[in-house]
Order: sequence, then structure tokens, then C-alpha cells
Amino acid sequence: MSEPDSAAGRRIDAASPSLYDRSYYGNYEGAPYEKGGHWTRFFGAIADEVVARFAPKTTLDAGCALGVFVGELRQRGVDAWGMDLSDFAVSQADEDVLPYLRTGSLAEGLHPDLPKHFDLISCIEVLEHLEVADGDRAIANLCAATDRILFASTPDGFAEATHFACRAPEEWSVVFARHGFFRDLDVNASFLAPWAVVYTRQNLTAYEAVARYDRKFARYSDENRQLRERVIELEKDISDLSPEGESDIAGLRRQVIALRDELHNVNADRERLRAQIEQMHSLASDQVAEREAALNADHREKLERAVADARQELRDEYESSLTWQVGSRLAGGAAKSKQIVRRLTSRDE
Amino acid sequence: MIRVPEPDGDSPLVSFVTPVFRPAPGAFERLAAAVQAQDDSSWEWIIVDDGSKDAVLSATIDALAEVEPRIISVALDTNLGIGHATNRALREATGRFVAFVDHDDTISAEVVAAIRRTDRFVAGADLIYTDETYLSADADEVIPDRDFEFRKPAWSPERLRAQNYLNHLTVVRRSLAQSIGGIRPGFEGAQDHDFVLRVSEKARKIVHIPEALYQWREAPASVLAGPEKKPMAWEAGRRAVTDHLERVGIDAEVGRLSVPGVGDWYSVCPLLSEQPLIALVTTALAGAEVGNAVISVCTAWAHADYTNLHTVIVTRTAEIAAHLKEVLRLEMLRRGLSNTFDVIVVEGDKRQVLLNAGAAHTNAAAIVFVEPGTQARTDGWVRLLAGMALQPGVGAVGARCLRATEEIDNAGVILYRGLPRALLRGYGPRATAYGTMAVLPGERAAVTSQCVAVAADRFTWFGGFAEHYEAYFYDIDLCMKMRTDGWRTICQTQVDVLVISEHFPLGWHDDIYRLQERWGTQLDADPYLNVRDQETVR
Repeated sequence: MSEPDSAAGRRIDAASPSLYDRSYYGNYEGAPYEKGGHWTRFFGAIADEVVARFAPKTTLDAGCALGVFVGELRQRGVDAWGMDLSDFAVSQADEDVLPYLRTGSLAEGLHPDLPKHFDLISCIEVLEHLEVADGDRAIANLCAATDRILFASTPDGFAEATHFACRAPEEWSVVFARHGFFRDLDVNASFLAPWAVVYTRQNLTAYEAVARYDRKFARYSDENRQLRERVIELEKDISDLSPEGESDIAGLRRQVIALRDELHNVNADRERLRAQIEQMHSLASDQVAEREAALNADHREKLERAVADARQELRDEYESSLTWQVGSRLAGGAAKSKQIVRRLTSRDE
Repeated sequence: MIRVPEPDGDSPLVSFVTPVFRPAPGAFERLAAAVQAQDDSSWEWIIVDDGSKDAVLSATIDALAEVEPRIISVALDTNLGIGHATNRALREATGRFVAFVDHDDTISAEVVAAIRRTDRFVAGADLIYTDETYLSADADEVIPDRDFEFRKPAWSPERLRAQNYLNHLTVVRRSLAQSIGGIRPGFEGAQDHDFVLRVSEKARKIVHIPEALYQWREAPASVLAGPEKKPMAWEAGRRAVTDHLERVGIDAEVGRLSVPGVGDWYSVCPLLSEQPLIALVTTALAGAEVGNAVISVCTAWAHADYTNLHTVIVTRTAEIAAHLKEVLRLEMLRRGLSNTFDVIVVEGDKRQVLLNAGAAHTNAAAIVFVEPGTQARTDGWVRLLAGMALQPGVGAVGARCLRATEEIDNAGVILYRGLPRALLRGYGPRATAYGTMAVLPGERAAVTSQCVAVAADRFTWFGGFAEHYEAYFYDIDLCMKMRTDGWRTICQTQVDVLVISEHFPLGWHDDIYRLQERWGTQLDADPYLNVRDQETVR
């Protein structure tokens, strides 16, 4: 294995295990690359998928780092192995996984201790760390040891210092095709990463390969067309909802302000009306009282006149009667009789 | 609603409460005479001798209690201070109300009768205060001079934060006074301010009796609080107001509001910790106003000290709008500001129509309206105005408007004989004026749109500025709309603005009919105006 700075004209060497020390694993983008926690759950879920889809008896995780994936697969009964360039990473592995991990460069060949054939080799986010030529040699070594490779290599992680060769998906496919490996078009490997692929050894002619790809292409292109049509519909709906946009909201708000102010005019009118009604009520009750008083006065006058008439009649009758004439004399004097007459005829006020 | 009288039994209506500590000679005797001369006999008087150790005084109190069963005297062995003595008296009190009377002041004969009237006609009156007059140290008679009177406004919580204007006579329902634990220890020098703040938070109704029923006697010069004691009292008051703000949930800090030689009060400065969006709305109706609008906006920005500010200038033509945009863009560059501004074009020839459109244009939490030409003078003015406008129960908040001559144009608006008039017009900006109204923030009948802040949702709810007025009074009208619905209008005297225009119509104007048509007799009653204030009307 080459030492750092040994290659002429290059400051760092992609194949140097010292690049992948504690600081690399401690600062891995996203969650820290440690046993337990996030990565255990992540690889546990992938192990579930791999077991369910491919049911491999033996696997190799090429570029296994701390061997988390190997451990998870072993827990699911798979005879899983791992290999990594970094001594440090492997030294950090769990004790029960450690016997199944080996160190070494994939470009130089699989470790001699490892089984010679695997049902599945996984190579997850590894080859972008290798120089192009080393990557190609690594792929040749992997293809020689299996018929199925679960492969992921980030197409756009250019910013990371240890990504020496980020390649587009089709570039990887071309390299695998040289070794007779083609994308398994029936497997959607996005459970691992959006760009993950399962390559399998397939004895295909160019015609067969084109036909398979074309079938897949037709389906995606149809899906794509339907989605575009839906987006156009939604955009139309949105523009129907707000023909004027923001200014329309301001316009509505102005209307609310004007209407709410109008309410105060209505309230003022209502108050005025209420005052008028009260005034009319009191006016009406005044008139009723007046009318009642007038009626009462009229009625009383009539009654009083009738009483006066009756009394006069009575007095006339008395004064002309014999009884009165005798009586008045007996009572002694006109004064007394006048008093009686006055009492009889006086108004009962 | 049916009023259920409190089960009083034989207890009196009013318990006068007087802690006594070495009163001025003769003064206490005059108070005793005044208490016993009450027209309404339903009272008791709790006298607590706060450890005076004065044989003559003790004999006087004993003699009083002997002949008058309604006088209850308690003598404390040691002097524990007025707060402790007052609480001791509160424990003895049995009346429906307690009235706090100082040992060398005196009261009018109508006090109990006035409290009885209030109790009868105002359900839930828990805190009652009266006006007061001042007596010189040795006088018996009130001098009929305005300088010797303190006529008070109707219930004004904002002013109470700045100053304990309730002072004397303060009457509190006994059950409430006792339930909040009376005077709190630890607020010596401001214990009464703390007490009335706590009472006011719990009181159902707070009633002002606009009669001078209390005569406050000036202490002899030798007894006046020494300068070394005052800072502690002020600090105690600051804590009392700070506690109060926290209890009622107002996000503000308390500072000093001071006029040398007159008084030290408290300023409540809103913090607006959440930095809500505040809008500044002004208009540029015609060519001549464009310059004024620019001046207003530039001075507003210079003193705003607030980042989340959205300025809206409403104008009538696209030409003016383009001009304004260019000028203001340069001003923003010059000042390195990051706030936003919009110039919008609206049809209409009335200012209030444009202002309403400006208000509708923004999504701000509060809006500060300024007339073109109004210049902000106070740093942090946006926070002071808008922060107060966003407080619970507050409607419109106006600034103190000065003229170029530095005279006050108005410190709010009062209603006088059915007309709105400028308050304190012509006074100097540092004059405390009558009742310190020029200095202390307080409630008003109305404020002017020369500079006014309103919470945006409240502005919309009350229908903004009424558009049927020709040119005037839409601001008074907005204050009336809010105030008659229980939202307080406040003059924030901590904010000074320079104004250029005569805000009220010179002479008669048809808009007066419009105002009167809507508000009728409600314009006759200014709850914050009293007879003496009329001298401040121009």
C-alpha cells in the first residue's frame, strides 16, 4: 500500500488508508459515523430490504468501513463479509463482526481469506473515493466474485475532499457493462439512495439490452407526461384563484374598512330613531292624558249640572210643601231655615 | 341586573383608616373634627398610633374614643412604618369601604354621603377616588386657587403607571383590600402606588368622584423628605410599576420621567421583543405635499431605530410615485437601511381615503399614520407609539405635537362644548402645565392624525378613518368609535413630533355637523376634562 505523498506531484493519495482516520469518521457529513444510533438503523433497514429481495446466503460489503452493514446482515442470518482500505475503520468494528472483516485495496484484489464467490456484493458510496483507473480495476475484481452487485456512488458529491472521482450513473453502467453486468431494470434500488443500482450478470445482446431499456424509458416518459399535465392544471387553478394577487387583498381590506365604518352611521341612525321614537311615545302619552283630562272635565260638568238641577227641583218642592212651611216656623226663624237650605243646596265639593 | 346588597349587618358604610405618627400640632384635632362632622353617620374611624410615644397625643386619642363609640384606637409599641400600621388598621375595619386618610390632612363633610351615592348607583364600584385641594401647613381654609387643587381625570390606567394620581382620597372596597393582603412590605416610599396598582387590577369598576372632598396639608419644610430618601422611594415605585406590568402582561421596561424641581415619575417603554412588522403610512396628495412627505419619511427613518418597518406612501399619480420612489431609494442607500417601502397610487382627493388605502396595503401588526410634514423628534418613537398601540385595551395612540416655535400644538384633544379642541396649545414643551398633562402619558378623549398609531386589526374592525368627512375630524371620529366601545385613546407624551399644519378648521366647517350627526351629545362629555382644564383649551 502506498504511503501518503509518495506519488509524484500529488499532495494526497486516494489509496492512502490514513485519509480515513478518526477525524474522517467523526466528521462524516450528516450523522457521525459511529456504531449504534443513526447508521445502525439505516443499515438495518437496508439489510431488511436486501434479505427480502435477494435472499443471499453470502455477501461481501466492499468498502465496509466499521462493518455496520455486515453486522446487520449477519444478525439476519446472512454469511456476510466486509473489506475496507482503512485499518482504523476496521479496528473500530464490533467484536462479533471483526472476524469477518479484512483490510486491503479493492483495486488490488479481494483479500485471500475471503470466500471466492458471493451471492451479492454491495459497494455503497465507495468507488467515488478511488482514482478512475483504480475504480475500474476494483469493479473488475468485484465482478469476478459475484453475479449481483448492489451499487451506489454519489453523482454530485464534488465538494468532499476525499471524493476523487464522482462519475455520472451512466459512466458506472458502461464500466459494469464491459464485465457483462447490466442494470436490473425490475429492481428499484431507491431504498438505498436515489442513484443506487443493482447490476446483475446478464448474457444480453445489444438488441435485447436496447429493448429492455426502451420499455423502461417508455414507461417513465408516460409517467412524466402525466405529471406535467397535472402541474399545468394546478398552475391554472392557482391563477384562477388570484387574478390580481396581492393588490386584490388590499382592495378587499379597503372594502371591509369602508363597510365597518358604515356600520357606525347605521348605529348613529339607530340611536337617532330611538330618540325620536321615545319623543313620540312621550308626545303620544301627553296627548292621551290631555284628551282624558278634557273628557273627564266635560263629563264632570254634565254630571254636576244634573246634580244642581235635581237639587233645585228638590228645594222648590220643599219650599212649596206644607211640611217645610210648618217645620221652618217650628224650628224658629228664617236664619236657621236658610242654613238648612244652604246645606241642602251647597255643592258637595 | 338585580343587585344583591352585601350582608353588612350593623357594620358601617365607610371605615376611615388613619395611621398616626407624631402629627403636626393641631392638625390631628382638625381631622378628628372633620370626621365627626360627616353628614352621613354610617362610618367608623380606625386610628393606629404607630408608636408615637407622645402622651398628649395618646390622651387626645383616648378622649376621642371614649366619647365616640365609632372611633376605634389601636396603639402600637414601636414605630413600624405607615404600611404596617395601615395593615393593622385594615384588620380592625368592618365597613363596606375603607378610606385612607393621612393624620394631618382633613376631609369634607360630604365624603360618606358621596361614597353612599356611588355605591348605590355604580354596581361593582371597588375603587373610588376624589379630587383634592391643598392646604398650606398651618391654614384651616382652602385657598381658592387652581395651584391648590388637583382635579383628576376619569379612570386612566396609563397615567396611573406614570404617577399615583389617585392619591387622596382613595376608597377601596374592604373585601378587596383585605383579599389582596393590604399594603405590601418592601415598597416603602411607594407603598400606596403599589397598593392602588394591585387594587386596580382586580377592581370591577373604578369610579372618579369629581369633587374636591379631601384637603391635603403641605408638610412643614423641615419634614419634607430629604434628598437621600427620595431615590429609594423612586426605586420602590419603579419596582411596583414593573411588577404591575408583568402581572398584566405588558412587555415593557420602566424608566425615569423627570421634570427637575417638579417631580420624578415613571415612563413605560414598550419593548416589542418579538419585533412585529410596523407600518408607517403617509400621503402625498399633490405636488406641494411631496416634499413634506419626503421630510416626514426621512425624519421618521432617522429616529425610528426599528428594523421591521414597512413604509407606505400613498399618492395620486404615477408621476409623483416614480419621483418619490427614486428619492426614497437614495435616502435608504444613504442611511444603509434595510426596511421596505412602497409607493402606491390611489384615486381619491380626501386624505383619509388615501390613508385607509395605505393601511389596507400593509400586513403590519400596527400602523403609524403621519401627516406629510410631521417630523419625528424622539429616538425610538416607532416602538413607543406602536408598542403602546398593541397593548391590550388600547385604541389610538397619539404623539405630543410641537410647532416649529417649540410651543405645544396639542398634547391630545379634548371635547369642549361639543367641539374637539387642542389640549395645552401654546404651552412650552417643558412646561408641566396643569396637572402635569404635558409630561405624563395619559388617556384622552381623542388624538390627532398628525401622528397616530393604531393596531391594524383594531383599525380595520372599527372601519378606519371615516371617508364621508370632507377634510377634518376623521381622526377624532376614529377615536370616538374606539373609545365609545371601551378602547382607550392615549397621548404618548414621551414622543415629540414637529407639525406644520393647523389641524383644526379655522372657523366653522360643515364637518362639525358630520361629527355631531354621528356622535351627538357624546361630544359634550369629555371624561378626562374637568372644569379647570378648560383654561387649557384653545
